[in-house]
Amino acid sequence: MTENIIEVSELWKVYSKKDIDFNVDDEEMIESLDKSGDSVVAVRDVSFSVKPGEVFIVMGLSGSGKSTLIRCLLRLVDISWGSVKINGQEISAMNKKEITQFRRHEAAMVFQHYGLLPHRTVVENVAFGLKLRGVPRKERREKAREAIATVGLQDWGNYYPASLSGGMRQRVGIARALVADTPLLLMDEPFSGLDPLIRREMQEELVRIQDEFHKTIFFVTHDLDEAMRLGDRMAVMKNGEIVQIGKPAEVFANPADEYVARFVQDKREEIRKTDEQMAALAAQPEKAVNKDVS
Amino acid sequence: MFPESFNYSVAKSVNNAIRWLLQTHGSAFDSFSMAILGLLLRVQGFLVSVPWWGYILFIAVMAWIATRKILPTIVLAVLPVFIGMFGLWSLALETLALVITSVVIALVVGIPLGVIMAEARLFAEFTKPVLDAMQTMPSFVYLIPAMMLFGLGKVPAVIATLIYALPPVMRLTCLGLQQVPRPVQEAARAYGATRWQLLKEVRIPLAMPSILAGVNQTTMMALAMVRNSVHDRCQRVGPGSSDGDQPDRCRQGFRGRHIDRNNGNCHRPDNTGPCPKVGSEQKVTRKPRRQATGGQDQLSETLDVKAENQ
Repeated sequence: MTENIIEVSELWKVYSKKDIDFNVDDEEMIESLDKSGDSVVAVRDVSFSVKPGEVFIVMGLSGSGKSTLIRCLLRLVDISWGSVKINGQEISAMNKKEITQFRRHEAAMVFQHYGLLPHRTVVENVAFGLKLRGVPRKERREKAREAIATVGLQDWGNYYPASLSGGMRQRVGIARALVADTPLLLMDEPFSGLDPLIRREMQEELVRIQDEFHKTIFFVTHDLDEAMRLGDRMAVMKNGEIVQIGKPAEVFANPADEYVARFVQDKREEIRKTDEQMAALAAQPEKAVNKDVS
Repeated sequence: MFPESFNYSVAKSVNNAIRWLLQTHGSAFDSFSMAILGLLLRVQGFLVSVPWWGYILFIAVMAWIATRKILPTIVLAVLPVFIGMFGLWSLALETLALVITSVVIALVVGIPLGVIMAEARLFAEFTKPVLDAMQTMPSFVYLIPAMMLFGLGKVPAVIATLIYALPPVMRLTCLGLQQVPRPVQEAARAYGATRWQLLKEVRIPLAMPSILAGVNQTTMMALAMVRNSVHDRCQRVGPGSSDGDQPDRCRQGFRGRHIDRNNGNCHRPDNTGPCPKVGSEQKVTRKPRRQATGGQDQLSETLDVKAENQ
């Protein structure tokens, strides 16, 4: 048993229309890829590791390569260079059968756009992963019902996704990931499409689920609040590279460069304003009370 | 004008090629032809065995299920009665048999080919221009070769209809599969769906509306094309097919001019009549007239012949 559940080293991902024989040592090639219009270096030289039971956040603006990175972990996109080890297994060395088995048993993913099957009911959607594994109908339905109850949708099992709100759909997405009963949970901006109140509620829900199931969660977001609320550790990505890794509080206190600093600036200002308001309120308690009365 | 010295006729080599095909592979075409004819006659046999009021009842029930309104149900149920009143009942059944056979074959062939098109890009690249050609070609351009290869009668009509009706279902199946939203497919892959599972559980169900639109289009095309080939087979104009009496104008034409495959291989197992003959010259010369007078022509012709016959 290796200590790290995810171990990524020197990972590169290049999207290209042409077939290219990518080589990290060939700097000229990388430069020309950057300049050419028909290829994009989405992930460059990324290394990190995640311990079991940890909530690891990847944060960055859109286009910084974080969604590509999470897809590399399941090999939903092919890896150009480097190594991705999950539970000690090298993902890039697996054949078709092995990768299918890996996806079925080792990791479950939650998507920003839910990725639910519109022609299946909530129960069938949640049971989908089990169906792919060949779990008998009765058993998978039972397990699906349990998972649906865990996310609080027990009365909605026979509805179709179209009749659910965004927050409820993402609950279905989470239930689908839970029912797979995998040690690793990959979440790609799961709450980005939800309105702030629901987002908050879902984050609390995730904390509760994490307390209950103790999974390893790899969580992609562009929301610093979310990162600070959920993360044990976080990585900040820019232009395909990881520019800083650390505890959210550390990143917040000591941004490694200007990019990270800009990220946290808004948050700091917000906190400063709140502090000022609190101080003002504390200084004039009577006025505050009067306001309340009038 | 295009220089005359460049003129080159392919007629001779085409003739030779067709002759060679027929001489060496004639039996293959025959058995293919017989298979289609067998299917057609089975369908027709079933259709004929249903009593006329069965159709009325069926149409009424379907209309009721589809509309849930009384007036459309009655109107739709009464309309086929007119077909019978005008003495076109058995001809209508023949046309129906032709349409059903063509559509069934088109779907059985077309849907899997559409799926392959969506799955294998190379196949799609190769197929698309062929489909374009199939649809842009005037119908009798392939009706005539079909007759040369498969003899005269209903089989070339089925084949011509097939060629015309196949593209929409293939295209729409392929399009439907390609339009399945990426996130849904990605999610299925992320949970360990194999290519086959992805197709069966996700892509085909989600492409269903488009595939059904393809079925619809193919049926429409088949109807349009069957009407055309009915025009082209002048036997359809006369009442001859049921009592073995071919109208005179159908006798001239193909026979003796081109390769007469008729004598050799056109057996009609149901004995509904002698092998139909097609007047190719007639067809060509009558075409403009029909275009000028419109669709009325055929109906009045049919009615004339019917009247003559009585």
